[in-house]
Parts: sequence; structure tokens; C-alpha cells
Amino acid sequence: MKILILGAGQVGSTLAKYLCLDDDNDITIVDQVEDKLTPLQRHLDIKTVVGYGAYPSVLEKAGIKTMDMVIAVMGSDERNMVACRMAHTLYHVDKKIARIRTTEYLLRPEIFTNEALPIDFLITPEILITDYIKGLVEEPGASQVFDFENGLVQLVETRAYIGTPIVNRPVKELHEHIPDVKMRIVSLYRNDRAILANSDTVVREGDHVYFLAKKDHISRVLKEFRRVENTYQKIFIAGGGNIGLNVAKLLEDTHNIRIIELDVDRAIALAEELNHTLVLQGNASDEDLLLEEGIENTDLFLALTDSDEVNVIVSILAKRLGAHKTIALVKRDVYASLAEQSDDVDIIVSPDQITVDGILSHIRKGDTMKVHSLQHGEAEAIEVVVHGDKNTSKVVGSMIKDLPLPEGVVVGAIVRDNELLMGSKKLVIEQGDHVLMMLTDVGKIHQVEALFSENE
Amino acid sequence: MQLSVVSKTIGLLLMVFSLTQIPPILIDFIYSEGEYLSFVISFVLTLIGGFALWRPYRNIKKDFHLRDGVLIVVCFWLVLSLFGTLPFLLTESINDLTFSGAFFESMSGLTTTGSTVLSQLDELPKSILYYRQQLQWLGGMGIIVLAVAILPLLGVGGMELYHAESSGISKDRMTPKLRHTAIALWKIYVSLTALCAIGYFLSGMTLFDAVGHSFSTVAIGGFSTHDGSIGYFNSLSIEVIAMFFMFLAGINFSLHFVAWNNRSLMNYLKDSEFKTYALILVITAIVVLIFLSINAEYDSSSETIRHSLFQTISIATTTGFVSQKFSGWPAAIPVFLIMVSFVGACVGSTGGGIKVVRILVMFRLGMKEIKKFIRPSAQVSVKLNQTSLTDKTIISVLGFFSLYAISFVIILMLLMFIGLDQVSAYSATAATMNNLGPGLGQVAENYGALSDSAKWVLSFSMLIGRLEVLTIIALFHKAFWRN
Repeated sequence: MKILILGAGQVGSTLAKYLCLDDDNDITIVDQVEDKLTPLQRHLDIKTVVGYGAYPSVLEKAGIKTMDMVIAVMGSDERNMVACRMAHTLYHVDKKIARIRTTEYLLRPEIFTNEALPIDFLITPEILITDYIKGLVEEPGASQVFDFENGLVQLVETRAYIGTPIVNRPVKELHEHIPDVKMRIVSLYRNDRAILANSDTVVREGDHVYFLAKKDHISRVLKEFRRVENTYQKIFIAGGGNIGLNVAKLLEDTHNIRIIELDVDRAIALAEELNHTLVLQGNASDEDLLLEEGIENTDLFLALTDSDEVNVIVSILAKRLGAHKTIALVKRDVYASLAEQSDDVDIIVSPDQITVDGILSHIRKGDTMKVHSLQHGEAEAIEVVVHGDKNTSKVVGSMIKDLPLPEGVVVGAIVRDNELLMGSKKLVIEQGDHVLMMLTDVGKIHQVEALFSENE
Repeated sequence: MQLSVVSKTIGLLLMVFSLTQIPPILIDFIYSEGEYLSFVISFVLTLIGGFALWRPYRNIKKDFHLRDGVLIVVCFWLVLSLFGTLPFLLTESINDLTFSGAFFESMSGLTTTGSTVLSQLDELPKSILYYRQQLQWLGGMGIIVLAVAILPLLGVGGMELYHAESSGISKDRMTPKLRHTAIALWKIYVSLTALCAIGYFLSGMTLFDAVGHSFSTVAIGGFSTHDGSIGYFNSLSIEVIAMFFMFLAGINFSLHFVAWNNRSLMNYLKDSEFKTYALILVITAIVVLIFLSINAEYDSSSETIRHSLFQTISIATTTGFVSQKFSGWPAAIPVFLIMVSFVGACVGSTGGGIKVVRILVMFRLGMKEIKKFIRPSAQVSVKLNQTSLTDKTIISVLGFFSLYAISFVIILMLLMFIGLDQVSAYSATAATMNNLGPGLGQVAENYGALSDSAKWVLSFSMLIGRLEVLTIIALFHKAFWRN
């Protein structure tokens, strides 16, 4: 696919990097600042063009006429909108994706039509981040949660901690511990490398495990990997920006939430907007305030201010003061990796990573129903629908163990008539099955797609 | 520095390039001159050499970095030139060729310089003659560009190599994928070569000569299958075709690419470098014409025009074909022509020299200084194709020029200490650094008489010119080797 990326900021350049992993993609990236493009040109096999991404002359220089897709991720919403309009009206580009941050525009979805603003897919980081955080709050112990089949099945990433039933034991014992739970480990990452997991693989401390299970069973499985974590009740939110507000709104009916906001006017606005949340006006790094509000009994501390530094620092502070678990919103990669090494920040939420995953998942969506981009875009979890019958499909009627799947591809589960069937070796694939797979190497996707495609 | 990756890549490339020893074997079968054995041995030795470098590290899958790329490119040019000497050394048809002579010839071929140590070319076996022409053709577009086009397995590493070899002040890609760019370049290159060969053939060359000369014309090389070079044929139409294709090959190939894609010639006229290139050729030809007429070198004015035009294009594009012994021309013309070869062809072409665009940038920078001197408060910017250049670009051009000048002086002095006279040393340095070919004085026709040490210095000088100085000089900087 020929893809034009407008804007080489964090999101634009990260996208370019991941899209490059697929050899079939031809990537061109445009930015006004040459210095942002030079390192990309050096390290990636892509074309770079210096210029203002909404100008027709610049778009033409970037070869927009032959592009299949335009992704506008420049700093300003308006610029992204205009660029998509240009791509549509002047050059008839098939697919247009734009990042729109401003809520005002999003409130009127009727403007995003081919006649007005021709954008096929809007990416809104705030909404994605809010959903992401909600998922984390609802599944204590999970580092990431992804939905399949509207939440019937979930893919969960977690870390194995020492002293728990599963660590230093082979995977098959897991099933003996919880025999009535349908679950399957689809991937195991040790020191950031995927290892092939079968029932004899021994789980070690610190391994990152991806497993599939029914939503209701997730917490029971998680208990095998971590010390018991009760559902979060008392939640502290530092920073009452849009993300903080949205998270509070989603959770305030079921949880006990306190939110700290520095700005007086904003704090008043928050108090008006929220019903069951206690809004505190003050500094999130104010030790006395935190203690007074019972930080030591807090189940979860969410640092969601605009500043990376503040988020990391207040998370550490909250942890030291007794908060059980901390989650920090961190934009810059440098801080993210630093904070990851610290025991005081439990989970890092990276807005850019979430935005990139969102866009990648959308781009990758073809005949596949759902795509979740994992491990910084190197791995994918996909859901494919099986079409055709025994004659037209290569997979219908064959057992999972007989499927000629490329290395690093695991069938995790099958959803048949809204029933979850775990991907055991002898399960026979039928027409209409929804197959959930994990690919540790995105590059194998074409082979998988070819295997599941229906012959005419 | 990751020497394992360097060794593995060079081995791989060498194995691929060993295949280039096969066409001469076929040529030998056609002409049945019993020369095939030297090529078969060269082929086997090159293949084994590559295998030996590749085999121990074949499972290493590391990405290479900038410095590995630089090292691979330089080493590969050297290694390929080294293995390129094998047919020259193995054949019995060339008498008293030393190893240094063979290396000089091989390097001169690959760098498209076109200086030769061989004489009595007309008596050599066809396979050897063909092999020399083929060396030039392979080197013309760049051996790494060829490797990137045909070897997808170089992957991202191919980019580091490409950057280390390719010339130019901007690294603009024609297509998003490097491999497609390399393929496009080779398509243009092959098409130009084919057209040129057809042209030569129709103008009366034998098929062998037509193909051989089309190789060295489009590569801007200058090797010929005859001692008399293009002058051997003494045909106006052949010279016109040579001029036309030398001119085309001296243009930035991305202009050809755009012109072909848009089916329009407009983009040539919009390009400052192309216009300057054409202008320099016209001015040079006029100056040569005037001085030849004044000195009444030729009887008829049509002869004067013909030879001045041919020699101008041949020298200014750094090809180095000779239709007339220009080194014997009167007054300052020979030295003037050698000076013009410093300007050379356009970036992204197969030609050598400093490159027109750099000269243009330096000229405009000079003009800017003058304007600022006259009007101190004026804001003047240095522009190229209607966009102003950043200071970074201008500084890199000046930096390139200073390195070029320093290298020139060092090589010139080395040659003079070795014992060459001033004219020969100066022209030999220019002819090799600019990848031109023929010089003046002692080296007007042939470099065979030079001492071995002079040949090594000149071989080095050719590589400096071909890889545009920076890549080579970087190897000599201590920071390059520090981890």
C-alpha cells in the first residue's frame, strides 16, 4: 500500500516506523521541519518531503496522486482537516485518516462526510486513552486489556510475579489450578523477546504473558500471576484535564474517586460536571493534602496531568505515601522507559503509543474483524472470520494442529455462535467461525490472510 | 564497528559480482580465442573469496550502522578492484603487466576513470577488451546501487550503503522504497546504454565495438577497444552519437526519471543545475573553438567545430574519449579542458568531478558576498531551484570543496616527490580524481610508463574521486574507529 503520512511528530514518525515493518508498504512522510525528517530518512526505508502538509504543491511533490491512503497527524486539527479535504477533492485519495483532538468538532459527527470534511477514520487520542485507562481500572493486575467480540473475550497482558502459584511452574499446571476456567496463553515475552509457549513451558518471574479468556474469568486467571489484588475502590486522580475528567465521569458511579486540580476555575468546572466525585483544588505534589485525603488507603493513583515530569514525580510520591498502585500518563519515550524501571510507577500509559496502535489497528483491518497492535507494533492480535466451505476454504474442516500456520502464529480461541472455544489442537474449524490469533511477527500477516481467504 | 557484518556483506556482494566474470567467457566462445580459462579461474576464485568472507558470519543478523556502511562501501570497492585484476594477471596475452598495473586498470575501470596502462589494445583478445568495458559499465551507476537493486536481502542496511556511495548534496529519493529507486536508476541506465549501442551499430561500428563503447559512453568511463579511442573510427555520426549520450549520462538521472514519468521535458528546463551544466558546456566549447581557430589547428572550420565540440563534451563530462590528440593542442586549451573537468557532470549522474551543483552553489555564495559588500543591510539568500538553501547545505558544500582541494594537493605533491614532472603530475591527479582518464605530458595516452608507487597513488586518487572524498577521508579520522 502507498501511504502518505503528514506530520513527523511522535505519532507520525512512530507510525512510519511500524508501517515500514510491512515490506508491501511504500511510505512517504511530510513535515515542515527538516530536522525531524533527517533521522527518519537515515533509519527507515521511506521518502521524506519538507513542506507544509496541507499545501497542494507539497502534496504533489510527495506524490499524492498515486497514494492509497493519507494519514494526517499534524499538530493542528484544522490543518489535518484541510489536508484530508485536499486529498479528497484534488487527488481522489481512497482513504483518509486524521487525528482530531478538539472535542468541539467531535460533538458534530455530521461534518465528517464526503461533502464537508472527507475523513474516513477519526482518531481521537483522548477517547482512546480514557477507554484504555478504564480497561486497566476494571481489571486489576492487567497491564493491557483488549476486547474481542464486543467484550465477550478479552486479551490481557500481565506480568508474572514471584511467589505466585504459576511462577517457576509449567503452563499446564495453570489449567489444573483453575480447571473450570477456559483460558489460553497465546504468547510469552521474556526480556522483550517472544518465546514459543507450549504446555511444558515454565513461566519465570518477570515474564510478560498474553492470555485469552472470557471477560468474567479474567480476574481469576490474573490471581495466578500476581498477588491478590482486590478490585479498586478508592481512586485518586491527579490532574483534571479532559482525560482526568472523562475517566472520573466513567468511573464515579462505581468507584470512590477524588480528583486534584491546581487551577481554581477548572476545579469549579469539574465540580459542576461531576456528581459523585470529590474535587480538590490544590497541588498534586502537596504531601499534606495527599495525606489528609487518605492517600495511604488509596487503591489506585492515576497521574493524568499535562506534564510528564509531574506525572512521574507525583506517582512516586503517592507510592511512597502508601498508594497501592500507580498509573502515570507519560508522553515522552525517555521518561517512559525511565519510569518503567522504577518500582514506584506500576503502569505507564503512553498517549502516542495508544494513538499509533489505534491507527495501525484501523489500517490493518481488511477482512479481519479486529486488529490489536501489541508490543510496539511488532506483534498483533487479530480476529478473522472464516468464509466458504470445504471446497473454497483452505481451513474449513481441518484441525488447528494441521493448519499450515507460519512460525510465531498461534490460534488462541474460536468463537462459534457466541460460544468461546479454546484453541486446542484437535478443534476442527467450521464455516463462520471467528478465529482469534496472535502473531508475534507482524510480517507474517500476509501469509495468514492468504490462508484464511476464500477461493472463488 | 561490527567487523562480522562487514565481512558477511562484502562476502555476499563478492559472490554476486563473481557472476560478472561469466559474460567474458561467452564472448570468448563466440570469438574462440582460447582465453576462457583465465575467466573461469577468476570466477571460481572470486566466488571462493566471497564465500570465505561470508560463510563464518552467515548467521549474523545485525543491522549495520552508518560507520559499518562506510567501511563496507570502501572495502568493497577495494576488494572488487582487487578481484577484478585476476583476468588481467591470468591472461597470457598481456605482457609485463605488474600487479600494480593490473590493479590500476581494474580500479580505473570500476571508477569509470578510463585511464589505462595497457597498450596495443587492438591486438588483445576480445574477451579481455569486453571485460574492461564491462568493468566501466558496472561501476558507472555505482556497484552498490546495483547491489541494492538486485539484492533485497540487504534490507535496511542497504540504505546506509547507498548513502555512503551515492553522490549529491541532497538525498532526495525518487520513490519511497530505496530498492525501487535503485531499480528505476538501473532501468534508465540500461535503456540509455541500449539506445547508445543501437546508435553506434547503425553508424557503422561492429556489434562488438558498438556494445563495448555504449558501456563506456553511458558510464562516462572512457575505455575503448582501440588504441585510437573514438578517433579510430573517424566518423562524424559516431562522434555525434557519443556526444549526445555523454551529454545525457552527465545529467542527474532523477531528471530523466521525472521526464519519463511525466512524458515531458519541462523539468529539465526548470532545473538550475541542468541549465548551468549546459551553459558550461557551451561556453567551454566556444572558448576552445576560438583558440583552435586563432591557431589554425585544422584546415576547415567544420573540422574545428567538430573536434572542439567533441573534446569539450568528452572532457567536461569527465568521460575521456579522444577523437583528436587534444593534449597536443596549442596554447592553454589542454590545461583549460582539464580545469573544466573539475566541474564535472551533474550530481546523480554517472560522471565525476566536483559536480555542477556544488560549483553553482559556491558561485552563488560568492555573488551573495559581493552583494552584501555593496549593500551591507541587504538580506540575500543563496537559492537553488527557487528555494533558498540552508546554511547547513552551504557549509557541507564548502566542506566538500575544501576536502577535495586538500586531497588534490596531497596527491599532486606525492606524485611530484615520486618523480613526475609538474604537467604530468598535475594532469594525472586531475584526470584520476575527476575520474576523467587521459592526462597531459607523460600520461597523455597511457599510464603504463609510470612507476608502481605512482600507480598506487593514482588508484587511490580515483577511488577518492568516485566516492566523493568524504567517505574515504572519514576512514582516516580517528573518531571513525573509536567506539
